[in-house]
Amino acid sequence: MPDPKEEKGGEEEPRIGVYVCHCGLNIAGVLDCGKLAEYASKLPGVVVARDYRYMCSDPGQALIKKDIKEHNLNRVVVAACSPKMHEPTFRRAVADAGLNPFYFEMANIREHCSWCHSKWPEEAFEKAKDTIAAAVAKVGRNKPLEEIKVPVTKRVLIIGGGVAGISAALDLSDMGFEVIMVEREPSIGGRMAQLDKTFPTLDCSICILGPLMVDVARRPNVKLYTYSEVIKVDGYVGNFKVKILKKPRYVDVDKCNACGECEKVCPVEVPNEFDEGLGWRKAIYIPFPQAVPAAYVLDEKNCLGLTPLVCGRCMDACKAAGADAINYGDRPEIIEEEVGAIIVATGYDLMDVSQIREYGYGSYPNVVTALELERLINAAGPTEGHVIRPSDGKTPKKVAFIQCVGSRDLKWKDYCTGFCCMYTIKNAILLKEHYPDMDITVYYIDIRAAGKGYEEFYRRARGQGIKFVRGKPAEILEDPDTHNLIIVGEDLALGRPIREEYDMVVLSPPAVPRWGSDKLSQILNIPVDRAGFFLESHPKLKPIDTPTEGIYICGAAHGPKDIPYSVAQASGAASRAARILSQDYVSIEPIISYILPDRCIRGINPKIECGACARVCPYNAIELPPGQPARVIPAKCHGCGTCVAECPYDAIIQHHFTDEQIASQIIEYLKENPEEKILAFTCNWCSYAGADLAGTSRYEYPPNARLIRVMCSGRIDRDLVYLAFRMGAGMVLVSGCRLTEFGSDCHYISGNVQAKRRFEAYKRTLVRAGLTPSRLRLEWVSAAEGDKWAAIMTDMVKELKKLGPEKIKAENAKLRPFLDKMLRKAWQIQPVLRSFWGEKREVVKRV
Amino acid sequence: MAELLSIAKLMSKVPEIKAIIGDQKPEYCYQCAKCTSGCTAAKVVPEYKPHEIVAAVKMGMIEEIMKSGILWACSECWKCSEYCPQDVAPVEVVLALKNIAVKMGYRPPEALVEMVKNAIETGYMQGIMEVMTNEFEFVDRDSLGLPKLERPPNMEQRRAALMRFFGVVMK
Repeated sequence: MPDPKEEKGGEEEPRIGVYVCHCGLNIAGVLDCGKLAEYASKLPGVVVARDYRYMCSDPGQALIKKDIKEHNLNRVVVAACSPKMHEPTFRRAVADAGLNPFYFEMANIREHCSWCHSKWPEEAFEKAKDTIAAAVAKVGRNKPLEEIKVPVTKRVLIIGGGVAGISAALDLSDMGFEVIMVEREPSIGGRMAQLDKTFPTLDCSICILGPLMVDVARRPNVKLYTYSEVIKVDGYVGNFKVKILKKPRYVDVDKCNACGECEKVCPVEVPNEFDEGLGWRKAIYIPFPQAVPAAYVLDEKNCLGLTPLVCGRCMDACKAAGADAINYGDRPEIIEEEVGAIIVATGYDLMDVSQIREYGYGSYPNVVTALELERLINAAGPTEGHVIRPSDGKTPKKVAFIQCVGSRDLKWKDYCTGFCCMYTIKNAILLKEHYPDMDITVYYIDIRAAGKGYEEFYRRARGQGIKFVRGKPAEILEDPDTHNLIIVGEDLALGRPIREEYDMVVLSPPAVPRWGSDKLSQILNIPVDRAGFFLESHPKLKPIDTPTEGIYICGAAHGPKDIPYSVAQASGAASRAARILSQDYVSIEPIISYILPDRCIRGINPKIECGACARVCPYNAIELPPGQPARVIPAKCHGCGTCVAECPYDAIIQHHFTDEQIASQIIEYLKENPEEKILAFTCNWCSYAGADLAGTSRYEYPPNARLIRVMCSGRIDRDLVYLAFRMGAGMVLVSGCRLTEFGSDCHYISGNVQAKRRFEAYKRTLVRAGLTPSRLRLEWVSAAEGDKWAAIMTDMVKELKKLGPEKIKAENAKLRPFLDKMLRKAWQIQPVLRSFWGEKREVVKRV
Repeated sequence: MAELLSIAKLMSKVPEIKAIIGDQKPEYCYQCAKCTSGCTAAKVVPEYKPHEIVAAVKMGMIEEIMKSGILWACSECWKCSEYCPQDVAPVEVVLALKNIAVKMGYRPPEALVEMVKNAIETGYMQGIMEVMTNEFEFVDRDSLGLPKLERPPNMEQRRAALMRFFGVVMK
């Protein structure tokens, strides 16, 4: 894999072209663009400066291209709208003219200036001037960057062999990719294999799933590992290395012909997990008749001894039947596979409702869960489809269903499981069809039947005489003699209390993440939501991606989901994975971090086990080879820059957002009248976009702020804040994506968490050194909170005016020796600080 | 129109109630009626339905609840708070309403007033009584050889405090 070289190039003298866009009257209506261009032409390094009506138009772009050729320009600045709008346009134009696209900067004088400061034209003009000067200063220090390309392994790993995993596997196999499917249970099939019928069509569940299970196992480009678990995943998009633990099955899948002779002689009987513990199985068993692979498995926990000395009857029976498939010497095996993408389809479990004491599940035998009823009503289940009461084996005549038992309940799970309403309606209809005389009542709070054909299905149930009663029962009492159940409730429609006796009560428990999801999230390094389900990268635009590139989620692993939605999402995940697998290389934006090996303390002194960078990296993108400098894995790095700010030795740079480049902006912004200015560090995704929105929404606020865009608030280094105050800034604002008790909106998972931690530390230090606390603020502004941005700005300017420039100047003078001391190292390694403060050398040395 | 106006007037009481209720959140109620299902008081007084009271509070129909006097049926067993899936705790809402009712001058049931009177006079909620045994004999503390019930210490202070709280009711 190509290693990004330390920033090279950009050595030649900068020849900069500056273009000020009128944007019709959008900018020119407030700012004098001609004067701005004139101002820009006098800035150091600027060769040509022009103003033009619409820079983004074809003639505008042609103007840039022409100037690059004629004036031999090597850098370009366009002062116009937000970079979020037209940076790609101009980067392309610059690249067309033969320059590296990173030799381009935008100065945002529309969203951040003309659109929101029309009440203060003079101050707005000053802000526009500063913005252009800062962009010119930065572009002169920009380095040429090349896209990073990494090769792709054209195979995919699918974790989980339920209906979602199977669908994704079939799609990808159809597209011609190799699929590796890992299933923890002895057979694929998942939850759907346990169900009797499916809503709203009453298709037999296993009849529609079975053929898919057989198909996926039969395909030559699908490798199936059942009774196996993923235990380790290394690598990055296109190049994952996966370790799979194959648990000993003690039965050779290829030799076993599922004749069942072993099962007949096995002396051990234990409750059958597949039947939710309602039936029995032997220690050697096949989970269900349609299992794939169609082979027995020996449960080592319950087997008498795994040796002919103790029992060995199954082995004898197997040999007698002529298969000889049983091998007591089977051992766990670790298999390594290489894949380019990973799909997580681990599904769900049901919460243990015995914790909800008022309904007595676990102590009243005739209170069952919906999944238990599903096994009872299934023709292949323990009762061959006869629904019976667990207490006495009699067919119940009067059955009640209770909905939302733990779902939508702040004491248990606050979310709606979503599919319980529909399966309860389905189970009620099935009961009614099996036993037309059965009296069935459903106690519910709301019926959620939003889905194709679902509401019609609900109507059908009502038409069949199933009673729906709105009102959540408070408790279930049991008659100890008959084990009949008494529901104590309230009928909301009648406004009357209910005390009804039932033969059987079915509860609808909440769906919870499949056990082991927490461990898997650590193995894959992907986050989970508050409920523990895997978290999508963006709830609207990337609902299948995880924040880790190359890993996708589908089915109930992402949140409770019914079969059609799981299958649809599986196809989506397959297509997202194919997006990677169909390419020979994946390219990565080059604005990633790079560790300077000669400055990393691990390289200088191998005895020091630093690793601060690796600790804060949200993507595990930094490796720490023992005794060697830390190293960034380019394909795993997302370019947040959190490690850059964390490194105590200043050994890490983020391409295109180096300390040097940001410092040059700060110096340029704060050269004149710094006491009246607010230096605002904003993250690219939320706060900068929030400030853009404030402009787009035309919220007016005073133009005192000078904005610096970084990719993530985690990039904001202590030194940058110190530098701002050393330059005399009136106030400093640090802002990023929202961080609340409900979680972090950060586009880099946890950059804002690091930003907050660091902010608290340096604020404490600065306040101790004499800073007025209100001069340094931390605010979370989302991309949708333009109003909040305007309000913060107005508030800060009010505060700034209250303090007054004289007090700020005096305070800055007091802070100066401390800041000089703190910035000593930055001064040593950043040429921009030396070129600006050359004469202050002694001051720095003396401290 | 007049009805609409009166509703608007009543709605204005909502912030006041919310201020008294504090952390409780009647607006989160989704009307599952689990509180009413398990209500101790509702078993005796079927008209008492906590979920209806919460719904009425949400609509601002406070005077209506107070006029009906149904609030005083609540026995404050706190079961509804245990059952509620949305942490609404109807009992807290009812408690707040009871306080407002007294402030607004609604008189609580006589039995409650009697209790307060007793407390002010004797220091005990219940006055000293004769009771009947299983053998239909009437006994009191003397006949059972129990010591004489002493008044609580600093009775005057207690009385003053009680008057401060319950003066409105006593008038």
